Amino acid sequence: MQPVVILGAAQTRHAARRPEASYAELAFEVVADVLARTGVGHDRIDTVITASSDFWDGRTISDMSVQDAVGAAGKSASKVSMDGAFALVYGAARIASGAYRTCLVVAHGKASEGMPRAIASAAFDPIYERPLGPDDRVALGLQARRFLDLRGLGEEVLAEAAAQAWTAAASNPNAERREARTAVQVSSDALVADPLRGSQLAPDSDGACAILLADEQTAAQVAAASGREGGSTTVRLEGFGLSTDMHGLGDRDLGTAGVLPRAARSAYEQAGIHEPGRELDVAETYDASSAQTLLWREGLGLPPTGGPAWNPSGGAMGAQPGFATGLVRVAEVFERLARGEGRTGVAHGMTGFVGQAHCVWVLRRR
Amino acid sequence: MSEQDPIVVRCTPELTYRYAAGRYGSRFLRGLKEGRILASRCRRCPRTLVPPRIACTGCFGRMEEVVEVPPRGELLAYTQVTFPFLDPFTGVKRPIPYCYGMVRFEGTDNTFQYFLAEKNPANLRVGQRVRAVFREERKGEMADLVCLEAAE
Repeated sequence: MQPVVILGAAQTRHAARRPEASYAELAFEVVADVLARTGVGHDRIDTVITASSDFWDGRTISDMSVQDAVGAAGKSASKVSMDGAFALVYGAARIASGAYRTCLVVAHGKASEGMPRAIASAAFDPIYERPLGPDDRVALGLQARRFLDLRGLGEEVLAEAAAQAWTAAASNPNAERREARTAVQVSSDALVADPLRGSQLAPDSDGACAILLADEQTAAQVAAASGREGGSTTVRLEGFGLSTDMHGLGDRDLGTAGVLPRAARSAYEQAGIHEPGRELDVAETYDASSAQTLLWREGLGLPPTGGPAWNPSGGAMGAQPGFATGLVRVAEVFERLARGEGRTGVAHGMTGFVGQAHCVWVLRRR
Repeated sequence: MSEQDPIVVRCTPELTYRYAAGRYGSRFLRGLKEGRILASRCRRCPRTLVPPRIACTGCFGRMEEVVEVPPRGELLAYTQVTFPFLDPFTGVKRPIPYCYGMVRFEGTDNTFQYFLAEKNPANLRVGQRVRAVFREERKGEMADLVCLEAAE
């Protein structure tokens, strides 16, 4: 298999509403940005993978409506209707196979255009669950309650995790939430899905993210052409893991990290990581609630304190632009490693309610 | 219902969307309000496209210019709609049958699809000249453009 190099990443300034930009314009924004950052021309892109949801976009075959904007016309293009971190698996496989030299992976999401709660509700079983009025947040509430009960923890741990996320997001220019908050502040918010308060849930955001992948030879050519030192600051995808759980909330143990440890183990094995708490420098997770912030940390095999820089961007608690959310985690880890802030990092994406499916990536700078 | 009948549960989810027209689409709709057809232009290709959009279909470059094009052109394809459907914007059934077609506005490089004034396809032909008909009171929405009618 060919090693897979990340040439560059770009993301939008995520916001609660981007009414001035269409889906296509958001996608174009990040694609034009990543091409400009890497100096790679559109004609050098071999294949494009997009991540989008028909339900979210209100468009049947939603990938086709952004193909022009991501520059896919005339190229081999395909779609993953899951979080963008999963789309990256498809894109990386195309490079690893040797069939393509460059691959653009693009994900977009605009919560402001649809009805996030109603769309979420439609994912539940129509006969047994939907009449109860479930949505993503209700499910997160159930999960948080199971989590606290199983560990004998009080609700203050949710507030502490939320405060940490808000404070980190405050210094992330791309985050939707840009205001540091204390544990007291985030525990005085109204309850949205007991025991979770509004500020302990990820926001609904508009945004997009693009990551440009290449094989090593192409990466060296691009680096040489740009005048940068060839290879010395290359960030590679070195391991990934995917794991999917049972669909029904009643058929999983919501109070644990579920199948995330399986995905993490696979990613760590491929990357030769034995002690993630010591070997990783940065971790970014798709945490849709403060309970998930704590659960996913555990699921990734990281200690409760210490270890890698934990969600330094604020994680998904800072911005949740639909299917771009997991790809943004990869972009955040990439940017840090590329800047020399650490050598190895882990990025996590999620699809399905309260972590039915997980995707874990290990990135390493060489 | 007999003991053997399969059980089917009916569910009608209601979903509303607020589609962003985007920077280019907003320009187009505001153009309609003024009774004008606007296009985006790429100078490199060169290529002029209706409706205007951000990415050039020729070179994938950003289309920097938005220009007005003549509200008339050539009919390149047409068909007749005979099945009843609800207009997604009004929720009301559109009277059938009616025709819609693809027109290449003068000075543009693609075709734009819109309603035709002519209801009978037997009276239409590919290559005929058509012109845009705007309504009197315009609001900056697609309905400002009533239809395309024969211009010869």
